[in-house]
Amino acid sequence: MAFVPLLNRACRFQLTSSQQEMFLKEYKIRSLLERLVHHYAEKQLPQFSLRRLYDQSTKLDHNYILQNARDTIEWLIIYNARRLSDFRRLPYLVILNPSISECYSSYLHTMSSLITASLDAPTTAQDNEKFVETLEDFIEVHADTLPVLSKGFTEVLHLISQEQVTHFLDNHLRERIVMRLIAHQHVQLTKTLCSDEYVPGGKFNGVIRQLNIADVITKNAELVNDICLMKYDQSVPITIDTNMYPPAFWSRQDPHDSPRNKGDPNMFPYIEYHLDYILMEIFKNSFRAHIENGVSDPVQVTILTSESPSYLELRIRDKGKGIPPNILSHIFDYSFSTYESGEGDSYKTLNVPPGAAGNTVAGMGYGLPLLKNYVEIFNKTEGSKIMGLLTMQSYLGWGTDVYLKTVGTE
Amino acid sequence: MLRTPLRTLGSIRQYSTPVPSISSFSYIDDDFLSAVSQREIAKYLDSLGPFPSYSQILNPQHFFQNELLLKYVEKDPHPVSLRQLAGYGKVLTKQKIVNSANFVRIELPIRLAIRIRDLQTLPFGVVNNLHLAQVYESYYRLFNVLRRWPKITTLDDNEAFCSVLSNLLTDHMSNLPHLMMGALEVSILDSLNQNDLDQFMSLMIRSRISRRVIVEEHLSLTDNYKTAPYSSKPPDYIGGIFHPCNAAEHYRHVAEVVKASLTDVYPDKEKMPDLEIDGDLDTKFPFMVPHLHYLFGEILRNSYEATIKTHGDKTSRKLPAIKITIINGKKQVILRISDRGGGLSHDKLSNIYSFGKSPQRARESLAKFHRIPGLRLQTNFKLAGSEDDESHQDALLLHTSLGEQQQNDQKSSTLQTLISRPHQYRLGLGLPMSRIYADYWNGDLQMNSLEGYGCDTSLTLSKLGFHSNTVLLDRAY
Repeated sequence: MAFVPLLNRACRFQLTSSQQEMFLKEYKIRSLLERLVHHYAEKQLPQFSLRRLYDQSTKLDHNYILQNARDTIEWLIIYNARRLSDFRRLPYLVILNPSISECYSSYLHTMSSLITASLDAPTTAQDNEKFVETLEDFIEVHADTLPVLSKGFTEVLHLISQEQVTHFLDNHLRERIVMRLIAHQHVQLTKTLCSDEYVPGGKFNGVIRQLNIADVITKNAELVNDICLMKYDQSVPITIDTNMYPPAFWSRQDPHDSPRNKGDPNMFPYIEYHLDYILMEIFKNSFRAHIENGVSDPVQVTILTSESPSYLELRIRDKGKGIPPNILSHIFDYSFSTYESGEGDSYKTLNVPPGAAGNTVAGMGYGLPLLKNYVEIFNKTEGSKIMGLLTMQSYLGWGTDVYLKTVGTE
Repeated sequence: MLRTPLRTLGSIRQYSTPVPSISSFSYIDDDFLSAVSQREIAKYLDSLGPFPSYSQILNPQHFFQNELLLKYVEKDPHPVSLRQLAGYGKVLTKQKIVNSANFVRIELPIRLAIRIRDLQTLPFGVVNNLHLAQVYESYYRLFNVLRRWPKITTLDDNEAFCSVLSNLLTDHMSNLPHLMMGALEVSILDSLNQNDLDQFMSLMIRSRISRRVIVEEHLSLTDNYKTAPYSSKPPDYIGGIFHPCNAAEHYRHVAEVVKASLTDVYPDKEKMPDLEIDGDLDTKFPFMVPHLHYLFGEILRNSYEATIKTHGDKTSRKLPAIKITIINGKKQVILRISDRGGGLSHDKLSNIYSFGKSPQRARESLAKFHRIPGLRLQTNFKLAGSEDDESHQDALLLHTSLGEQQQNDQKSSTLQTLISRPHQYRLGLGLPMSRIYADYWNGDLQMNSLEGYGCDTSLTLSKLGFHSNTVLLDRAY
């Protein structure tokens, strides 16, 4: 038989050299992008811990803030690349979902600005001011991504297992909290340095402040009551009591023999916006339960603080009739499959009317699982035996006790 | 073949063939960490998004439009056996041609949908590279064209349908290299483990073979009906796309092609190893010629390259011959190819059938791939943020600029381009690819080595007529 002359045939398909050049140029850039993300995602991150937040605060001065800017960029690039990599591990079709791709793309966007920032790392105070603006943009870009992400995952439930979603979201939400905290910390350190609040060598120049816990509780109860007034035209009273023998209850030393004076504040060093988020979520659930069950009794909050070692425990006790067992077992799940009736969601959230104060995540079913992430964020990083903990005990027909324990740093 | 670690790219430049004008190999080096590159990269990061601007398929609506494909995935493909092909083609009628056309029309979208769905379940980072996204786009476009195609009732309908099919064979030629390069991308980023990658590649390539066989068989039936509707077929007829092949003759032909491709490294063609063929010299069996050539080509290429490498600069005499033994069995043809190219160390032998490479090797291989003369690499790829927008391909499936190619009686094939590629384009994918092709036709490919002496490759090809009851294509929809 006659064979086709292979070599001649091949030549007819030859690209012009300019076509090939174009292709190679585009290809090169494209593959560099992937490798860059891959490279940073594989990099080791320093352990994130409360201790580091304190270190940053005590070292703070005009030189250190520039060093800290560079570190902040490097850490954020790595976290950002890890987020991108995790997205890229999801099935192809899942990312093609417009909502999920919107989230993914927002990380591409911030990756781009972070890399640019890393090339122009601040060397003067003015540079740093500009970098803080970049960070504020960064925080802003990622502020409202959760409702979109939640919508997206609702739409891909038939394409992906619940374990996969949970695994992704657990990592995603945790690292998202850390990223935002790193950014907030640098912004706060910069602000403090330029203000009269700056204490050289002090522990509270950054996001960690000495908080009057009772004040924080009152503030958040008021915020949630604003929402309740809008939605139900009712509000729920709270009472606050505290441990009697401060401040060394867990140190196994002899307690102070005099009880705490009434009015002595319970101070505890923590990140205020984290505590705000935690308390809002808990109050939303408790207050709603009180109102819907027609309970007029107050919600009781008990504060226990210790200085050495440094702990905060809270118990929020409501009389909202408890949580049915079938719902209780799913209460920390991302609400995407377990609730056939709308009933379950009522325990998760108090839907926030548009424009009202509060976290928009509420109502998306991510409230409680995210809350757990906020409480336990320092768990794995502190290395101490007692760690951040959120537990919930339901007394069906009576009420619910929520226990919150979080660790400070000695 | 992996007899030695691949040469570094620098050494490619010593060859006399002009390398295409791109001199920068920076996607091989680590220079993406330099400040200049990073500034450049930062501009283009959006290109890693899921919806490239060039795409006709990938946009925010695609996810919802895809519901339709999910319904197709639930349908069962219809297995085809060679016996069906053979029986069908023996006596042709108008109705048979029309039925055959409708079978292709209904069957292809189902099979495509299954493969598209496979791609959709892989990690985004695997599919969203330049090469695999290209494959995805091309499969999806074809799926859309075929699922909308109206029922074929007349020979004229069939004529129009065939011209589309014929064009799409050409149009989809670039998918094979894109798949292979996609596999290299996966190795570079280590985004799938080796087993998953091999399984994926095997599935994609088998499925591709089976779809092309179905299409080519229909084209051949149509052609046959037009030219000689009442011609009688030989008793061993198993379909229009299979030709009786004389093994020795084909070996000699392919050896010439391979030798010609190696003259850059070893200009003295006269001294290149001879082929010494013994055994059943007049063995003839039906096979698809491009597949046969590809299999022979990759194996001979390995043997020639190894022999030249081992002996080329040590002797001025003729290099040791490559010996081929043809064994004509009842149900199969066994081909043994023995060379004296120095053999292969045993640790390398274990890994030669895998698509998975080390990132470094994959990068080198990919860089060579991109420079193979004659391979169709043009893509619709357009970087986000790049300004030159005029070269948008008008990408209409039905009108390719290569329509004239169809005048030839034999379809052009990527396989042919691959075996005639010059020596420096050593890819490391020949054996895994060959094994899939051999396996697809119920054959086998094994390699044994005498370290320090040479390699023996055993290629078994079934005589397809004897296995006609096996639902060959069914293994690969």
